[in-house]
Amino acid sequence: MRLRGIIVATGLFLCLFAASGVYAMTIAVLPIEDLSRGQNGVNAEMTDYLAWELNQRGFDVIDQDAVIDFLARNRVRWLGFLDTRHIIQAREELGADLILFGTISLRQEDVAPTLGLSLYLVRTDDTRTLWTGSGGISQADLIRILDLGEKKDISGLMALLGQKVMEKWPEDYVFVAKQQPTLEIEKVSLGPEHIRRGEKVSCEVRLRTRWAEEDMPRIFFKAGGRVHLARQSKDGFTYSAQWRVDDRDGRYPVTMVINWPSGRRKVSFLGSYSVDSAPPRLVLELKGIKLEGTVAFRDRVIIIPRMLRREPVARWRIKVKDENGEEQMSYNGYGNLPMRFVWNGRGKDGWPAAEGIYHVELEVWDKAGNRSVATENVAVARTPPSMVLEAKNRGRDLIIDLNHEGKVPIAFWRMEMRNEKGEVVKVAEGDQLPAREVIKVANGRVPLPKSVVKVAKGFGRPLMMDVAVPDESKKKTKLACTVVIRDVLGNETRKEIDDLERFARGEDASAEKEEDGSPAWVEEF
Amino acid sequence: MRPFLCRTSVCLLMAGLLLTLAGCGFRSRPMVMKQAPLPDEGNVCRVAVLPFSNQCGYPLADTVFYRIFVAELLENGNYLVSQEGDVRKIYRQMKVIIGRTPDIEQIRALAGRLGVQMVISGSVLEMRDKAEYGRKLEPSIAVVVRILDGESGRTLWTTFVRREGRDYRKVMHFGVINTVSALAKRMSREILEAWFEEGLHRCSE
Repeated sequence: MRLRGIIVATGLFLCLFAASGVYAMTIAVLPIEDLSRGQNGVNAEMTDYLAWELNQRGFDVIDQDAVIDFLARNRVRWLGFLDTRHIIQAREELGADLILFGTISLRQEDVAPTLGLSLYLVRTDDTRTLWTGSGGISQADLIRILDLGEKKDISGLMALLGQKVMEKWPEDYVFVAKQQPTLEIEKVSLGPEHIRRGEKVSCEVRLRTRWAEEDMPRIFFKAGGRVHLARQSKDGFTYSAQWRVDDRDGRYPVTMVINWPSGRRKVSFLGSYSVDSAPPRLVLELKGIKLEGTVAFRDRVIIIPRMLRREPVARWRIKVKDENGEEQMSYNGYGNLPMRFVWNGRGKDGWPAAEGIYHVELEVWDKAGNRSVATENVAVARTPPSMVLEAKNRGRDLIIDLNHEGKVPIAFWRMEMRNEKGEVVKVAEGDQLPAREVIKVANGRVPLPKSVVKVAKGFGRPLMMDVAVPDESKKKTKLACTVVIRDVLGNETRKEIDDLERFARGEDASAEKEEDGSPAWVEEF
Repeated sequence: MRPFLCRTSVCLLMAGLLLTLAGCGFRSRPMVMKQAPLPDEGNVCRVAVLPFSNQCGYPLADTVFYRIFVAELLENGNYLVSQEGDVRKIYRQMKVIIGRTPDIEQIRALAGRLGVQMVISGSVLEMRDKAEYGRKLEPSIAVVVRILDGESGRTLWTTFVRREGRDYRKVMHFGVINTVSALAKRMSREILEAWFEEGLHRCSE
């Protein structure tokens, strides 16, 4: 009877002892994160206070240096990196039964002293969070009569907030049920994500759980309606399988199926892969003037790649080759195609490429490695329009015929007439050739106002121009003329005639100056 | 007779004053929009909370609200919440940028890997406690919190709530919340209470 009493008393004592919950409990207080000091900020003051407080409550608090060494060893720079593995390691390396960590979510000193704190208590045995506490405190919360004796700084608030949050510290946490271990996956490696038919997919899963021999489940990976048995690694945590893909193009989810001997079954989604055996459908669009079916350009051509079916691109390469197959330009990149390419008509050496037909070739590889090529021809045309300018006298009229020879259409032409003083007396311009101009030399004393005469149709409708003779001596006036023709590609021809009258008579050919638009060095002035 | 009337009128006056002042603190319950029913009729225990996104100018508003919300979720719902580090690790492995909501397939994979039935994501739309040039303001926060199904990755419930510190005023200045931390805590609790009223159950494990 007495023995039974002793046993009951001992049992009660043990229960009460356990209920006190602090016997032999070792706790690691991780440095309290201080978000007001950035993501890596630490508040040593609060950390020290909490360690002291827990020590007062009877916990065996692990030394801060050992905790910091542990965090550094495991590369835990801030709380966001602390995962289940670290918590388990804290038990193994530090011998901690519990971990307390937290965040100072707010710390304001400049306006009104304010602090915010959240704390988490985690059991390292099963990584279950046993308790959380959070709160905020502001100087404004501590209203005193007539504001007397109110502190204007943050000192004192820290301990006050710590006490406030710790008020709800659980006394019965030892009775919190153990967290049932679930199937937690440490790592999944499923690849490649994009694959062609006939290639192999590999899947590897690392679990956090290892079962006893008698409870060892069979693990399968299921994809496209087929199941593939997974091989277990030597350490017992990793399961892997490989299979050849023979399915139609499409996206295939992969699930892990676990069948225990007891008949229990669990299915977990792992990820998916895409089967893609079709090359990307692609066309090239060249922006420019089309001449005889080929886009021609002088300075630069814009090449726009168009995907007929949108899909992600892994890499691409664009090349320009001449008629002999020699590469003039190449450019490559990774990821999606740029909106456009621009070729400035220069070769690899930087010099303008010779006139001729060039071959633009764009190669594209999709994520599965399917290659597609789109090609287009482009012509480099830099020859300036050849001008045919004829002038003849007919009585008091001077007739000028303007024409050009070549396949490239004309963008515009312009004719400027100047007197001996260099003043522009007449301008004529148009956008079609051939054109004819008739100049009437008048005897008026007052010079006519200069104006621009637009010639829309050109030939067939001669342009009549009156040009005043500036001199009363009725001498034949000398008219200089500048004629410019530019084709649609930007090539330009300019002709300068010092004396139209003499030009009409065909006397002074040396007065003519013809320039083409080809690049040339000019003297700097 | 006269003292009785005097006492009654003083009581009535006080009651009227209290009612008037208490009216200042009226606030509506957080709005819960249900797109689909919860898994297992709301009997959920294992939960993962994705890192929140910060859509306001307040530095680390996402982390501040996230940490407080998780603390309240554990305290009020007794849920088994996955460690933040585990979620972030999967984000890194899946190459998901923090603050961006993963796509449906990634949510399914994340839930499968952590063994959770329910995933919670959220965005902090507004958080402020001081005006320009450092002038003190009463704190205000606006958040959207979503419950996603771990199995399908679909959004099940969406909750929007915006609060200011003065919304909690009781009498005169009493009750006003002066810190964003305390306000975030109150709001998190209100969100959870609204969810519990709508059919989410506390974990009993």
